Amino acid sequence: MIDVIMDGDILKSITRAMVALVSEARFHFMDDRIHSRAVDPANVAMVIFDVSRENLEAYSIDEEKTVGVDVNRIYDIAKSIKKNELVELKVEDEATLRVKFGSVEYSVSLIDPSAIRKEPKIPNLELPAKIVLDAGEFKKAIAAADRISDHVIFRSDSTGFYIEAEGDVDRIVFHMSEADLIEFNRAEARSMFSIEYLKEFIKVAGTGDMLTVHLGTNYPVRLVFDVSGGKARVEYILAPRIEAE
Amino acid sequence: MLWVEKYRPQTIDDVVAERQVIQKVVSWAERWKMGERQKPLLLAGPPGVGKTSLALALANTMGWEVVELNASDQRSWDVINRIVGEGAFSETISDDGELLSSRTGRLKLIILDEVDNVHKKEDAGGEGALLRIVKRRPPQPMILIANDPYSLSADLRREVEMISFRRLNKNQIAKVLERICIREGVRCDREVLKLIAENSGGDLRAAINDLQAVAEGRESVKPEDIVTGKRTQEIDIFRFLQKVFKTKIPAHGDAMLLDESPEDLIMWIEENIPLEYEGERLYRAYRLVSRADIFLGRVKRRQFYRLWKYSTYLMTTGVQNVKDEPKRGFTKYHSPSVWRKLMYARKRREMFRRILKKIGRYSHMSSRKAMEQYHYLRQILQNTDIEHAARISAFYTFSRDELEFMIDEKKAGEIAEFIQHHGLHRVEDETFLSTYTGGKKEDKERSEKEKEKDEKVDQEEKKEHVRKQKNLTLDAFFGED
Repeated sequence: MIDVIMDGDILKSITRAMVALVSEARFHFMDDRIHSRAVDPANVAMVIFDVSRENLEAYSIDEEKTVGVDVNRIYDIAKSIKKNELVELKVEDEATLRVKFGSVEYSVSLIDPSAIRKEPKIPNLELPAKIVLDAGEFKKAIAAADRISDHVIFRSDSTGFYIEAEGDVDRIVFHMSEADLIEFNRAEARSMFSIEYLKEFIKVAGTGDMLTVHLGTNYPVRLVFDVSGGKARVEYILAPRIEAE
Repeated sequence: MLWVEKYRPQTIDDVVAERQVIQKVVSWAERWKMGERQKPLLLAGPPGVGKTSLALALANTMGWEVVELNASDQRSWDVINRIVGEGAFSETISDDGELLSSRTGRLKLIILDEVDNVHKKEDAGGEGALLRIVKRRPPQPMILIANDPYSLSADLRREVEMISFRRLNKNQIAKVLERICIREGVRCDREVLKLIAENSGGDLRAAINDLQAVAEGRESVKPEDIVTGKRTQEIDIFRFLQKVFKTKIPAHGDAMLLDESPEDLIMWIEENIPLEYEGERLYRAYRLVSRADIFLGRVKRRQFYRLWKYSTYLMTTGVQNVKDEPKRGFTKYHSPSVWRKLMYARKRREMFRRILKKIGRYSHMSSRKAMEQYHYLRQILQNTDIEHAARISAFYTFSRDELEFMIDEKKAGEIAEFIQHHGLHRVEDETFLSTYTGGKKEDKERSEKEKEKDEKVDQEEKKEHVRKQKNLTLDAFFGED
């Protein structure tokens, strides 16, 4: 038996984060937090989210438990939650998840967790550069780059953080110097990524949310979003594009 | 657990296939390993001969991560292209949370199973998107798998390396079955395995499933235990024609197993009758086919599909029984020429329409009116001297093909060459006329522009007007209802 009450916005964020990559996922209700992670079908990106117990309005579980969730369905439902509305999640038997908010209660069937694709281990990555910025700015840069190309280059050196995209005829450089960034360690790094994925990732955050970028050279990037007013943490790991020689 | 899954080959050495096939695939993989980008492979062949198994075993042997897209309801071209398009150009995060870098030879094998089936279900545009991806030479290896490679577009086939699988023979299948029996601890009679192998028609998966059905949970199996019904196998048209023309074993049942409707089947039979029968028999066979065709017509007209049965019966078993003795030797059957002719006719029709359009546009008349002028024009092109004819052709911007269509090939070629040699072309820009008016040129241009503007405004007004009228009529139409 699981009974959780949380800010509706959190549910919206975490399901939004999952649907960017997968349609079903295992949710772990652990003693101190709710956790889930998944890899997309092309083995290119991974999503991880955590909501710690303190950020939930109420949290009671008999024991640690894993359920299989059709995130597409839950996201569809969560979309209709109003701002500042509380939502209650309840799992009484193995088979159904009840989502209750306002005056409605949805019953959604759960998926047998063993039928869902094997969960990945969280990779241990050594990423030299750390950049903290406003997610809204990042969003703008990706949206602009999307218009001219299908891939972007993230670059960081002592002069700042760059997002560069090159189309057939035009080129966009988005530059933030140390003064524009919330935190920056001036490390050098450079990798290329697919916009197709980034585009999906940024939908989870808005202006005012904090984004931490961990970047390496020809290495995956870690994008850590603090969403829903810092109550939930969504992390994406994206493998780099193979650059043409 | 299904034995088919349980005994799927783990490494490339376990795969049952022709040696050439395996060699080709392995050398393809080796070259990838050396860092050379290769065309994707297309494994083609009937079901159950180990195409998917080979691909999986290959990945296993090479230590590649696998991204497998097989038939499922979630699969559409959209999904495939997203996954393939991104996956094929990016590095990989493995299930163990490890980054696999292509620089160090840690590749990811993308397997697209049953590509030919997606094509039928979804829109045809998706295949074009896949083609574009393939043309960009993705840095990750890719294997496409299809039962019928010819339902894929020729362009796509050109961009991949096709490897054909043949049906397995009885002995190969029996050998695999024997191995499974030993592993499962079932004592199986040789005869039993032979029987199952024969029944499977070269489909190893079917054979293993049949074996599991009779042998699972038993200690020994004897021939009399075999009760699995005969498997229906899809048969191909050539084998079917052979049966019709070379034997007297009733073939109307086999017609059901073909992937052809009676309407198409009758074409095949009609096309090939004269290769097998002559004289009196030829006449009688054609009579039967014509009777069959009458039934087909009735099906169409009355939408009464039960009549197909009579039609099929006449065209197969009927035609079969016309002969006393089959013609000896191998006959190479043809595909129906009707289809080719229809296509040819359509092409000619389109060409004709194109020519009429050109005449219409440059001589300011409708295509229909142009048809009246067409024959005079043809006469002129045919009978005047080359220069004259060439100038006329250039005026109408006829291409070489179009000229060849209108007049005899020799003259058409001469005209086309003349046009090319002298650089004749139509002058589209007619402003050069304005030089004749000298100083008034500018004024004229301006006034022309203004006129154009006025005209545009006029046209727009007219358009609106027309639209309004249309709306009105439509409203009236719905209003009465």
